[in-house]
Amino acid sequence: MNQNYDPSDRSVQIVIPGDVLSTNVDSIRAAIFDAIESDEALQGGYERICLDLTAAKMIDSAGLNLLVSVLKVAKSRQASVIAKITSPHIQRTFSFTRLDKLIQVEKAETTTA
Amino acid sequence: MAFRFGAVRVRCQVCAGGHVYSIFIPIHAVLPRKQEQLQQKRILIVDDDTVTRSILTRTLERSGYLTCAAANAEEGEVMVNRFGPRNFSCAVVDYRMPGRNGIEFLTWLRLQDETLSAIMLTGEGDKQLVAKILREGAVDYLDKPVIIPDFKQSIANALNLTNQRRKLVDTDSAAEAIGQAQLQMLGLENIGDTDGITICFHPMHQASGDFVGVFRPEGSNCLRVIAGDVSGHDLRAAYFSTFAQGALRGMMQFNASDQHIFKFFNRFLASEWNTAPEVSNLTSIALCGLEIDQQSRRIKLINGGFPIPCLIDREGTVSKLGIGSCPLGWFDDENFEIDIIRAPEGSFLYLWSDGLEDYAEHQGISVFAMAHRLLSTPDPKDQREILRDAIDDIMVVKLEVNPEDNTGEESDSTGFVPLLHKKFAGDESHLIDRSQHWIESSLKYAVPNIDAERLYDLVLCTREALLNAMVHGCASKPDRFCDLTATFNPSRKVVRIRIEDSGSGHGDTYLTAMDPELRDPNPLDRHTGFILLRELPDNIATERGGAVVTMDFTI
Repeated sequence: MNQNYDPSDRSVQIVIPGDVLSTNVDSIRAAIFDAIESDEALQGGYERICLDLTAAKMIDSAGLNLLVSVLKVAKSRQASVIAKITSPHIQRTFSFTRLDKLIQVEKAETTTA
Repeated sequence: MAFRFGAVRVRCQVCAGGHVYSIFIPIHAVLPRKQEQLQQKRILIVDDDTVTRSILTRTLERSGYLTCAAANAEEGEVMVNRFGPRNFSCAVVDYRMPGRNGIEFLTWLRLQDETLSAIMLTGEGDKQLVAKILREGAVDYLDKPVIIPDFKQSIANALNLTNQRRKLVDTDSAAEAIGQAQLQMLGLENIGDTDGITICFHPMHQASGDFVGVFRPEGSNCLRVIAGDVSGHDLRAAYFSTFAQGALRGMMQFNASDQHIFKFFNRFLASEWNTAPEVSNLTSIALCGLEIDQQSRRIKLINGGFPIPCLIDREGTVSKLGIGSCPLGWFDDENFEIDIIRAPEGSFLYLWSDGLEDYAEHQGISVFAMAHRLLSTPDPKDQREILRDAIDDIMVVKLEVNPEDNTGEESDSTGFVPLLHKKFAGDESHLIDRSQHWIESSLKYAVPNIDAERLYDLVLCTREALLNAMVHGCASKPDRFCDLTATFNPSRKVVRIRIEDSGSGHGDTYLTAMDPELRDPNPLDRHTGFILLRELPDNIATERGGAVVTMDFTI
């Protein structure tokens, strides 16, 4: 999983390599929290957490709960969360769970597998 | 006369016209009469060179072969046509002859009998010619003048090859004949549209060890069904399967009871058929007999080692019928018990051979999904395509207990068929990705034109509800179980998922609450799994405080 802090726009960039499911959510959580709690990110005072979810085809409730946790941490630091999504199914899930009202969704182009 | 195989060639000299007449004496007058002579191989020699023809003929006769000599292709054709290609075991043909050459004759000969080996004689020594000769089916070529030891060896090889090819063809024909007899005995043409019977029968080879017979004794409301699977996949199994089917049919016509039939066949197999000392020759039959009284929906079942039949009610609920006994032929004192079941209105039975279960497992999908797909695919060509990787005979039968239940105006609102039916242990949540893959593959397989978005919803909700049942309902314990069923109503295009766990439920009314405030899907306050379950299905219902969850998806 790629993660880095970009001081130019004070954002933490995290690329999620695939689905976010109950079976892999713990490792994804650890990687995300490593990034947003890194010295560099904290000392830089990050204002945005950018999650690249373009490789994900499915996010289950455990994955959604992780996003909610990230959102809560971001809120406590007055930061925002941006999610880059390709899958129309995940975009729809964000819509009916109202996560799209709390997380800024960037719809990426659908790639043909 | 025998030397010339009944043929006498006469050349006209008086008129100096140069015509050659072939005269044939009736075959019975010239064919060898002794048994040992009949066993002799007959070899056709076609060569315009009198000396070569004579040397080869004498050489072969001294080696104990029968010969038939022709001076050109036309004469050779006449001999083959007259005696039949199967009366020859080998042909020796010269390449360069007046009229049609040896290759042209060989091409013609292969059309008459592909199994007949031929040796080409050539003086050309041309590689391209040799390649052409071999392409046209000659098994060998010999340069002229012929070296006799080489010729004898080549003849022996050619005879051997003809023999092998003919054995293969004969075996193939026998299997084909048995297969045709089996298909005839299925009596599919006797099953009408209103009988409520659908059969998919897919033998692996020309003949099969599986069989099914459906009979309606005269003047009876009962339908009698007998399905079997003979052990082994060879001709012996196919032969016994055909014999068993014929015998069973006869016994049923004379109203023998299923129990008598089972006992008779078990004794016959154990004490007569399986008398060979080699264990590998043991033949057994997995046999299942059903007697269905269609009016009262009473089913009598007797099962010796056949996969357990399933009774499906209108909601698609699966009940496995009986336990059954050992296959017939194992123990001669086996006692075959009868189970009696009263089927609900609108129900049907699934009966399949173990080949279907094995193939479904191999394909990583549910056996119910596969049964539905096969039985809803009417064209046998398409069925064969679905089963192209099968390694065993496959047979699936769907029997409506009372076809009249499903006729009339209300029939559209009935009829869920099962697609998934599986039990999961509470401690299997770590395998959920694998289970999800099985669920998704099965649903796609059973309903190939399912919309991708709806499939996603179905799979995600099933995963959520199943995990909830394992982790909360079964407390992740290995000795507690939850049941997953997916059923499909083809006329309403609804897939219904039902998950039941052994717990006491979670008591959360959110899933089914009608109050808009209670329904508010705020992800910061709500369990997101419940939001998914609430929002994605067309309808959701719970029982026992959420220990049973039923979701409908219109696809």
